[in-house]
Amino acid sequence: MGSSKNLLLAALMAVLVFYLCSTSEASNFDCCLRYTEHILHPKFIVGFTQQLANEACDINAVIFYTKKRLAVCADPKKNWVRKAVQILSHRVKKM
Amino acid sequence: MSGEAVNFSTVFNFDEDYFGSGNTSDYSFDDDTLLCSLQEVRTFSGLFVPVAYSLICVFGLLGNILVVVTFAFYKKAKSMTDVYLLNMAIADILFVLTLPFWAVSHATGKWVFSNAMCKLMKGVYAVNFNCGMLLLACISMDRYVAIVQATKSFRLRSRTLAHRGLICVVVWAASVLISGWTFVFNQKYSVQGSDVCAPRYHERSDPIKWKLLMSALQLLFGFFIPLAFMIFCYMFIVKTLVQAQNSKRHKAIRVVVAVVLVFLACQVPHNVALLVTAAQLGRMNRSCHGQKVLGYSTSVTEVLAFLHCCLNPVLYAFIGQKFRSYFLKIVKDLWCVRRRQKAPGFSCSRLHSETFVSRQNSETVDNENASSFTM
Repeated sequence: MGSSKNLLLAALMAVLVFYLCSTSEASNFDCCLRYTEHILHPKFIVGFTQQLANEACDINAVIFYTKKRLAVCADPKKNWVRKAVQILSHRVKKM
Repeated sequence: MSGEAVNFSTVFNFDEDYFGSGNTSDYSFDDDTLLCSLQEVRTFSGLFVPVAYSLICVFGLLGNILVVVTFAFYKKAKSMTDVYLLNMAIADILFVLTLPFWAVSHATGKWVFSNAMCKLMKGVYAVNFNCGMLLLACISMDRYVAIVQATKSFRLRSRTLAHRGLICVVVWAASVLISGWTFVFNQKYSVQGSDVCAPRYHERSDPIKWKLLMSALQLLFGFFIPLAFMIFCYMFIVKTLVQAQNSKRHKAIRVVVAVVLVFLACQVPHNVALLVTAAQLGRMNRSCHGQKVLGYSTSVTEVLAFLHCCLNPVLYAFIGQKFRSYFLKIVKDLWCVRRRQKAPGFSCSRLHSETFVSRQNSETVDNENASSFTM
């Protein structure tokens, strides 16, 4: 009888040890899902923000806001994206 | 300042020629490479979710407070199932108390409270949602021991009952301790210019792996483990009941079927939505339309899942005859108090209701095993 009580407690403990929980409350965030194939010229870009995979969305991306009020998703690993980001940061610095 | 600029340009060689002559600003962008705006989903859930959460909060509080009041003033928790029921009611009360905060968050489209509130609400919400699930598994296990292992269960059950305080402390302490993860990861931060309350993982560690791990654990402890316990225990319980020569067995089987069906109806849609979300995590072939559909279904199925904690008092406590009689007594006593305030001199026959309940008790004493089923 003692053993079955211990078994019960052990089972309960085992369940609780893995009892890491993080319920996801419905989160309807605007996210980038894919990257654009096109190269955007910085003169059409008015600003940018970064999307980080460790936050609410799950891929890393740079979001360029164009003069036509589009939010275009770009791959932060691509060279042109890095350069555009540098140019835009520089532009902000100069202001 | 200018020196720095020169240095910068030589290092990175960022002449804008790199981008070509670039006269074509009007690329026809594929919609799925643009930022996927879920504004329409937020508009919908900004109306639907606050209403639904308010209703769940009101009815959840009503039902579960009644359970707690019944245990506190009218009925001593006699079996382990009673102890679990009381704990489940408390967990459900704490859970529904966080819903107004999420309702406000949905209505305004952002987290308007502090970072500490974000951690606290996510923590309380996670602990109690999953604690409720764990207690459902515990209840099915206790009923299994009581009914299927009835011959050898007496000593085991009395021993477990003797340690009920310890078991409860273990359940709550461990859930608070281990939900430390929710306290660590959830925080208030800005996404696209508006504040949100969501988990944020370390940049260096593989965030997709962390998110998958968290989804897997939630699916496991929020659904699959209680489901497995319920299916195993209730299957054997129904088998035993079918063989038993008991006049009440048909009702008992109906109760079991209702408990399992309500669990499935409430939890399956939500967990399918969670499973689809987890399966798509970090994938590059998602469409914005698909994300919108997923957003709508997550909002709706979540409401359905949370509705479960309003139904628990009905399914587990008030389905029982004893509980119902106590419930009627509470209503009567409350009514009497009001009457007495309005018309002094009016006396309610308290004595009558006392004897009524004690007679009920003596009737059900021999039936204690079956009453763990709270019939």
